[in-house]
Amino acid sequence: MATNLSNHPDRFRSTVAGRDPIYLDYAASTPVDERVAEKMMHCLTRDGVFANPASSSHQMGRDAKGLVELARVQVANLVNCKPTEIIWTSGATESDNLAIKGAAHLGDHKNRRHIITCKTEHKAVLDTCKQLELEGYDVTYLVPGESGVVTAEQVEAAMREDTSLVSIMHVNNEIGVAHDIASIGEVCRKHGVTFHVDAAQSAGKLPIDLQKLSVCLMSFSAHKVYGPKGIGALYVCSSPRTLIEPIIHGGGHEKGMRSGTLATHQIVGMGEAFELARIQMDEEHVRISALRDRLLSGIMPLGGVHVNGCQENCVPGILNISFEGVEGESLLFALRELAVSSGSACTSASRESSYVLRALGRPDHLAQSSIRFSLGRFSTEQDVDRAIELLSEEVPRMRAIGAHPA
Amino acid sequence: MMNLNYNDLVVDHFNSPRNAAPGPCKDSTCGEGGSVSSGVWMEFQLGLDGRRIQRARFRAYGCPHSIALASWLTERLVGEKLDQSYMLDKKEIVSALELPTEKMRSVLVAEDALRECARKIDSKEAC
Repeated sequence: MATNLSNHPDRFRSTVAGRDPIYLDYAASTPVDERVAEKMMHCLTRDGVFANPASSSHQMGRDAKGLVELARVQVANLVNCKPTEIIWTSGATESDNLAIKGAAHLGDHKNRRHIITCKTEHKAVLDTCKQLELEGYDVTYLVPGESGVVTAEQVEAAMREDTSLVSIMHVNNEIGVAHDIASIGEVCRKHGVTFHVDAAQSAGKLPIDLQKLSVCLMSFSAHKVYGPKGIGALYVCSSPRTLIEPIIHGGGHEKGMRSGTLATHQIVGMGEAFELARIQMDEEHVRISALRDRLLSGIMPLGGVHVNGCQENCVPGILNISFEGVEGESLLFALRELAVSSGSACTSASRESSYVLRALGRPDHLAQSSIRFSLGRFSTEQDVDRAIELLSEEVPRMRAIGAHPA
Repeated sequence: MMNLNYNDLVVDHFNSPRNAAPGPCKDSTCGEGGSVSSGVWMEFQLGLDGRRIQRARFRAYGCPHSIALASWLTERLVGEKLDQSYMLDKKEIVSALELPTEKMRSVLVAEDALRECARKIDSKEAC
């Protein structure tokens, strides 16, 4: 049988023209830190800690359990919560599903069927809310201001008697702006409403202190923080106790909230990654902010450059730029030496312009011409300078071919 | 899916466009189709002998397929006779540029631009 090779990786490789690609897509995923990978290796093979952490009947199982619990402490330490408040999941998408469906279904028992979220949330939140709408729930989608954030006042104004849940992300994955989750949390607490925060993009990049925040549920992902893909966590506040209904049933793991054999190597990887993030966060914040500033000041002279999202309250690693007079796909191809995203990695598969940028009021042609540069632990000044060099060649070239029709 | 997977002809025309117009149309017949806000815009600037195209230049905004198509057409169109119902050979274009179905719109945009040129020839309209 003939195999279609049109999407074979070799065909992609040939388009990079002999140069090593420069990775500027850390907001989509990060490489696993070598220190993390090393810890994970010890949990796979026969000479390592491979046993089932649930096998309390023997020492090998108890060893695995010990590593899982150590990782739970490491994750909890980064966000200042109790280890017992951390539930392992397969990633932030599952955490979002568990938090939103789990809280909504429970609210349903009290005849509270209204949810508040924001138009610029990740699809993991938006599509979960859409599913709940099909089940008969009522969802309010708040529209952010030009800066890219919804305010606590907007959340308060949308509150209803039957509101059971507010889900607002900490940091937006496309534009990097941070919501004021402290103020929004206060509004939710005042109204007795469960507050869920998707912190996939902020954990390890901005300080999070759950002791000081009125957050009931918070989603985390390992692979955005130099940990492996396929593992995440959900924080479930114990005081006041937040209740959620499970969506995966089985052996009663994770206090019945998420059944399924724990993936020791993945969990150990996430724990180590969060531990490293906690230790390096301040230093990385300074270094990556400087790289971002270098990139922006190198791009600005091109003119017709629009920075999407507010510049003040944001993670240092994300810079989302619209280039006037240049179409997004052409720009991505012209910049194929750079691994960057046009819009969000998950949405750029469709030809639609970014729903996040449109929600911010960007006209379609500017939303289409947006590029998200995201920098991380292994980004260098040389990477940034090469990006500036390429942009300075390709953006004017594209503009000259296109010109602006009046 | 936007997989940035183009054939050699598209990459060649994208990297080295033929007959890119240096600016707005001056002394030739021009026509445009599509719009920047819709994602594809094309303009052809034609040198004509009556209705017959003697030389063509283009300006284009769009994906690599659209830019390559416009560039490729400036070579392919020489000798063609234009009228207001002019149609491009879609089979030939699809096979040459390996245009995916979702990119067919750019062919229609090119056709619109060429038909506008024909309309201007008919109405003797200056650019």
